[in-house]
Amino acid sequence: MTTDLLSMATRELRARPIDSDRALLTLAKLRPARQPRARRLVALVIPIAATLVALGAWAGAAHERHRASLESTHTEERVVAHKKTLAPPLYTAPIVQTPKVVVVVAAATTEPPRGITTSAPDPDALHRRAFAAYRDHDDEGAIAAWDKYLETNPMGRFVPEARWGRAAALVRLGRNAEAREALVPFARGDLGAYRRDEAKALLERL
Amino acid sequence: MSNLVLLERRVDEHEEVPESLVDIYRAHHAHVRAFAQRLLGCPAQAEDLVHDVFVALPRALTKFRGESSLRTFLIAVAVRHAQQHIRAVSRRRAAERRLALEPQPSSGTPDATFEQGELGQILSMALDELPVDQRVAFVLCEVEERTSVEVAEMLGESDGTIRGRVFHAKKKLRTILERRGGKQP
Repeated sequence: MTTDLLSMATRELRARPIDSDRALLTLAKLRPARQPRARRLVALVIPIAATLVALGAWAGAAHERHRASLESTHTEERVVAHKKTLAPPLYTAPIVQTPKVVVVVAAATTEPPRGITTSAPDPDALHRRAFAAYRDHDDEGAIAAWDKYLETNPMGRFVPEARWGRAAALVRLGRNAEAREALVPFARGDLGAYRRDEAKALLERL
Repeated sequence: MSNLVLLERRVDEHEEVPESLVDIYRAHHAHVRAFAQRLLGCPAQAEDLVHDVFVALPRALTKFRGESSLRTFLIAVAVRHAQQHIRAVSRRRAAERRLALEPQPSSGTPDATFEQGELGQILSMALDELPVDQRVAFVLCEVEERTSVEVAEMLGESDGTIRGRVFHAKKKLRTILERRGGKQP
């Protein structure tokens, strides 16, 4: 009967092997196709920012060179003028050496008086203090210390550890929204493979 | 918290979509691909459909209410994207038939002489002659063995509508198979 033929054909269609050779290719195509907006924005902004910074540095250096050459010319003119007006060579030397004296005075004024500590806290000590606080379950203190560390040492060598420790302390405190915000860059791989899997696992649980 | 709920929130925040998308792809691509290949009968076109489904998924998930499983939802998304692929594969096969590039199944011979898998191929080609709605309903209900109720929910139609589509699809397919393959003794 034809009904049986249709049933047989349906069974055969159901049993046909599924070609999944291209599955990985599709997966590879999916990855770049859905970049997060933040990452796309960063990719756009970073080159522009780098260019601006480089231009600023170049302009600053050029300005400094120009100013230095002007000052030098001006000083030479003044020296020559003095030489012309004040014949005795005794007066020329102090005029020429004036900038050096100014530099020395300026350097002296920036030096702190003895007995008063005004230097920034040692970054490594800050990180150690934060870590010790975290170990002692003083999560608030740890967060404060790591915040201080990250604020004063944005390019410090313990930045990834500090950011991770801060995120972990936030999780322990149950400040989930802040914790998620802190964990997302790790899970996203912004810091490479460092703590990426742990961050993902934590995000799953939050 | 389920992976899906997390994904939805990430979609809302425009964050972490790629990783979650990859996770879902890994978990469900085989089922979506199986459906796509049964519906289209062409592995390359099926792969294109799978790709379309997962690219469109983050936006589609905003409409997902969790009333069905994620796998069912993915098949529904595939159905929505299938129409253009069905048209493309039908056009291509028709052209191939005209140019005699695709081997025609034997005609007028007893079914006993069909080689292994040939009936499936005939049926796959016969699906080209069905309207899209009937084709989808037949594949989902008869080939994938889903209930008409499940398919009705998936497609946002009534149970009766789905049953009607399957009925008409089977009627047409019988005629086509009869024409192409002959009658069973």
